[in-house]
Amino acid sequence: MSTAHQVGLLNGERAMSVKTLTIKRCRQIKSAASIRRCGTGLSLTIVVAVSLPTNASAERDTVTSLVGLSLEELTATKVDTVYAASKYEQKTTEAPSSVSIITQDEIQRYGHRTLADVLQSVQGFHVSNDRNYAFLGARGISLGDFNSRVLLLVDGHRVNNNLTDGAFIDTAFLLDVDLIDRVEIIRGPGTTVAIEASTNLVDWQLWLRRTRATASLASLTRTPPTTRCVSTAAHKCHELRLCILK
Amino acid sequence: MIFHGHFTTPLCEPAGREAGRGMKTLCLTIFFLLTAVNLIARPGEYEVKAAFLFNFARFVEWPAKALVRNGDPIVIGIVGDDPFGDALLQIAKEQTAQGRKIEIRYYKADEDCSASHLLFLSRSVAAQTEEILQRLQGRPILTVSEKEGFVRQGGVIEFALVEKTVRFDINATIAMQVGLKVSSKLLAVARSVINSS
Repeated sequence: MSTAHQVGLLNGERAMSVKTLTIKRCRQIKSAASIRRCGTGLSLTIVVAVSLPTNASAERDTVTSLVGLSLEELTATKVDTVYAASKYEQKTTEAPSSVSIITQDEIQRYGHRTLADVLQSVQGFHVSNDRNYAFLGARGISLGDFNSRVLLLVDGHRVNNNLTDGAFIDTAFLLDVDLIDRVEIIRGPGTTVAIEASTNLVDWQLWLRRTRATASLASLTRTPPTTRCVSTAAHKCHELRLCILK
Repeated sequence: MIFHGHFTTPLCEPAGREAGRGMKTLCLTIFFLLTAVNLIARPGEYEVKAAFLFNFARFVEWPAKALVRNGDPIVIGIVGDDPFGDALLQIAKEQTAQGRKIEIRYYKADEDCSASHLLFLSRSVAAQTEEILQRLQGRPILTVSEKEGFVRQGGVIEFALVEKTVRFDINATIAMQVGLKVSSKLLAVARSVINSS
């Protein structure tokens, strides 16, 4: 999982979370009634705050140094594709969602054999198995359905089945995982907006009702598959996107 | 994960002086960690691609009819979603190519984008590539895309990722047809050059 990134956590945000921790720490020290110790706590806060602009300017420096490279050097520059693709593409299109990406490289290295294996390796997801099918749960909650709250797209095409609206993530999935270029896991509003577990649960319940409503609506109106895919994407809890190598 | 250990252990120390020393070490560790993360980070794919676009603007010569006046900027158009973030804007602000300023313009897929010199077709308009190329046929515009098979479709430059490096293919025939002079420096580092003549 080392190369999979949580997009929401850009450099700046990481530093911010460290900062909050620092403030907490300082408070704890204060309660211990030691002024000197709190002083060091403060200096720590300053160090972190100073490193914030360093992080922001790093990006600017990178571009400046890249522009200074010769064509040959630029051609030889190794890029961090996962980071960049998710960082920028998500920034414009799906800003509030958090994305994890599993690359083909990782799938090979960890020997994942099904999509369920891949998902099991992602933070917050767990897979259960009834010896027939594999079921995906998120944040400790298994929904007890046939993965119908997961929208599974292969190269942008919806592959959830027509019967249960479920996504096959086990051996019933239509492709060999070796063919997968990368898996993008896009968490929907149900998992990203709510932070506390209890709120999440409530949200989730709401989501269940809403998804059911839209699902029935979709089947009634019989929209063509592509439009349906787009419209349901916004209402599903998770969206899995697979890119298949040509 | 890394921070976890550092934050929990000093809390357990009871004596003031020891805690103070612990804090100092902590300060230093965090500072170095944060700077180290910056140093080892590889450039992003689109930062490198932005740098390439800038180099294309430097090493391609447009016909006189495309850049009439001396002060005319080289216009880089982006069709569809912009994947470059701030990288390209920063380059446009800081750099000049062939003594000209660089201007970035954004277009939707169905908009008229013929006023640009270099046109980047984003992934979001991959489906409309053919249509866009058809509209621009014969115009001296350096079309760039990441879409596989773009150069065979009639585009001029196609980006490709090869073993985590950004490479590109050039369709020199099309470039010549529309009056663009691609420098040999670019042709030399291209992964492949389509040249039917």
